[in-house]
Amino acid sequence: MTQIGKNSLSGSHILAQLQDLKAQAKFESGKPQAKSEGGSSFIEMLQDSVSEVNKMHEKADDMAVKLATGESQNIHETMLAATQAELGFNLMVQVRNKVLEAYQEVMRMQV
Amino acid sequence: MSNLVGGLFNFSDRLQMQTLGQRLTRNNVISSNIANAETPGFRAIGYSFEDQLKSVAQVNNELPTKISNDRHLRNSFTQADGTITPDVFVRPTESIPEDGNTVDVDAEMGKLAENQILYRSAVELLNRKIGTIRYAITAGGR
Amino acid sequence: MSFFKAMNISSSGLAAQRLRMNILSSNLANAQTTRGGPNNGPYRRQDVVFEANPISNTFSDFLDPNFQTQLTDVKVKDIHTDPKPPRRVFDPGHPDANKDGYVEMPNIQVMSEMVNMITATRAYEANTTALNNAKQMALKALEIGK
Repeated sequence: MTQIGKNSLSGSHILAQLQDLKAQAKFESGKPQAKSEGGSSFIEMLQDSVSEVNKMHEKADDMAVKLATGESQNIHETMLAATQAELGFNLMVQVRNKVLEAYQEVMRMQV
Repeated sequence: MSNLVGGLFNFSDRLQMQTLGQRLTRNNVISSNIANAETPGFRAIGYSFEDQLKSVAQVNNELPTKISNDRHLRNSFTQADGTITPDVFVRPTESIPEDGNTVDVDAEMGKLAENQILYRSAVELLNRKIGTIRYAITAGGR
Repeated sequence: MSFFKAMNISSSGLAAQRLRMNILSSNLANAQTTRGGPNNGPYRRQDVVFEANPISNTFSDFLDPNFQTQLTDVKVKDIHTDPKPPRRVFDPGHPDANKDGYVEMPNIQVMSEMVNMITATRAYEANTTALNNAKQMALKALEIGK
């Protein structure tokens, strides 16, 4: 797990979380019994969702800056983009939790 | 802002935090305009900071990694210590009435409402971001 | 389309109605004034002329597909004096009576000025409601996804 106590943390913790999730997804693909035939596409789906959530956050940030400087006056669109980014992130974290849970359950199975 | 938690906020969040203070000052300026709506010889004052912020946002979309304080936004509009200088000016009017008072109460009320809406939108966006970070810190660690 | 344009338009309407109210008050207060008007004659009734003023001058607004109708706000074009001749009242004892004994009184109908005042008040209230509604809509937009 990524340490959050380090002083040299330059990016956001969210990005660290995303990368953590990506590393775990890669780790999952190394387990032969944990995934069925559609394993590689599932990993790709996770990685795609990570980059998509990151893009949503960037877009929401960009719209927030434009609203604050007065460049755009679309309050509702900014709020919608921020909500989408938040929901996307929450969804991704929950998916990761479920994947971890499934993995741990599999590991608990006695051979 | 400490480096531990400060690193969780990106440029957009720091910009929103700065606008909170600026909008509070602008609220005070507009309130003083409205309070002096009947004072003879009083000229309405304006407080503008958005252009400076916009130039900072365009130039510095990513803050340099080595800065002494996370709150410093650097460009030609900023002072030596990195804070932006807002513009306090007398509002231009087409004609000046005889008693010298140029305050238009209705326009000032409209500007007050606009300022309030933008203040609340900055607070709301910061709340969302903080909520996301808190969620990542608490719910993500399983 | 932004909320702030709506609020600017409403506040221009408020300013216009306020100016109209000032003129009407001046008319009512001077309904019996026989001196001090133009040419040192009686007070002449004044009226405001409103003009619709398109608010956007930028090219991008004209290209905007949502910009189907021109948004206009209110500008007070002119305060013009009523050209109707003053009323002549027969009152030989009045200090301003002319040699025939007639006094020229301002041609102000108090009742119609009162009705105009009511109209101006209602218009002011309507503009206030419009501005408040625009503000409420914007604040509601902040609650999306809360």
